[in-house]
Amino acid sequence: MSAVVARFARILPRTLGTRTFAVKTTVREDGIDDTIIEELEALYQSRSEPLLGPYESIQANRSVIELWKQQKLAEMNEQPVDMKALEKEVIKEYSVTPKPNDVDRKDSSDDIRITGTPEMLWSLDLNVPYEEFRRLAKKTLVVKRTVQMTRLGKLPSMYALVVVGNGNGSAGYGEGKANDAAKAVMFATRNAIKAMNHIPRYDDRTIFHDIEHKFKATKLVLWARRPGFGCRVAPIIHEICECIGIQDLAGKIHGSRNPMNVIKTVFEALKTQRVPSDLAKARGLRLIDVNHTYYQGITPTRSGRPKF
Amino acid sequence: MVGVYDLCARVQNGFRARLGRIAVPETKLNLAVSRVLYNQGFVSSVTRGTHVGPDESYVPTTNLNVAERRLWLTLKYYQDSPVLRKMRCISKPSRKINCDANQFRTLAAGQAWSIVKGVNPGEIIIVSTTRGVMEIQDAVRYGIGGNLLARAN
Repeated sequence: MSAVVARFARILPRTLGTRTFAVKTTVREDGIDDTIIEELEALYQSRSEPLLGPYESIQANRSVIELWKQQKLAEMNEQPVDMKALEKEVIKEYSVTPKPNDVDRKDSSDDIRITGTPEMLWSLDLNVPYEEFRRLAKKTLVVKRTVQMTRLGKLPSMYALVVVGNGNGSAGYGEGKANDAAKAVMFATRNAIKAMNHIPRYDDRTIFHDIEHKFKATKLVLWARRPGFGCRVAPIIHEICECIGIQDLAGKIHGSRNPMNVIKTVFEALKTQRVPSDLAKARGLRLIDVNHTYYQGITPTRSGRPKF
Repeated sequence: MVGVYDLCARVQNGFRARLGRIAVPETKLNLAVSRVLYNQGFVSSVTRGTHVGPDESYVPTTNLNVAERRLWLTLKYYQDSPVLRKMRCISKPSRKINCDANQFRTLAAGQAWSIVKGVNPGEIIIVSTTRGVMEIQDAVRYGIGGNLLARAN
């Protein structure tokens, strides 16, 4: 064999093995087919491209798939073949991962929606369906003007803290900073939705037990209360309770009452709750709810899910 | 020592340091309180031993070896967090708190009395009564009063 073909023969994929390219071409004097060289050159070109991944280098895969298709055609003795079925068979036989549906999706208008005000921006990566997003309670609790001091002067920016909740046990807070308040609120809302997680409640109306928690300079005491009591807590904590879906609570803030830190304290405190089922597993006890078992369960006076 | 102060500190510190087991001085009171902790599921075993480790077989405590004797408590962890978060004394040398049966009932129900807060869900109060050291709920069942020793959560 000539040196040219020998050089190209080394880069052929292993699956081709000793198969020959049975393609109708003119045979040259030195016995090498034009099309073979073209195809090998194409292969060589595709090989020298950086293989970024199975979907990025569709071009590279394409040339190999064409080669395999031609082989298959030759095998079937050039009978009239359904090209699509042939392609499917080739892909299946050679385990080529097919292109996923959303790789070159042109219409991405469904990805982002602007609902009414520019503060509310929904997109797919929030992992929340659009309908659910609309029904979420979004409360902007802190908007501040912050300043970064540089040698050229003061750089102002707006900071926002937003609490987001579905009123039924899922809530989270997010912070955002931008040059204007609306954008900051938008970033904060999106961060809040990403940070949402489940908060345990007793009877879906109050916390499981009295909580004492300290975060930075804020000391917080929260007491579980009877049904119909209401949320007798500071206004900021009241808003958070509405987002979470806590209806009966009493609480007191000692120390610093900085709104930003109080919100963070509340979320941290509610995470430290001891859920009876976990307690039972940890300590190996049989726990029964006295209220539900012996007193027929005092039912809440208000319906569980507030309407937003 | 006449109180559970040492035990409270050692148990709390042991859990915070994520130790597997801790050695506690071997006294009658420590043994009784450890028994309550074991029954309530805060600790998975209580063993007699020396300052080096638990005994393989029974070794009697005598005048000669009393200084090395310890009680080994095996600590429990669940879902990457300690089972016992806090253990505090209620009766202190500066102020001893004794109650009768009625006050035990209010405390066990969750209502505060004097400077003592009510029992929260998941909490226990260890009390010393004429019938021995036990949990407050057991004392209420017997209808007896006593001295409030410690509170474990």
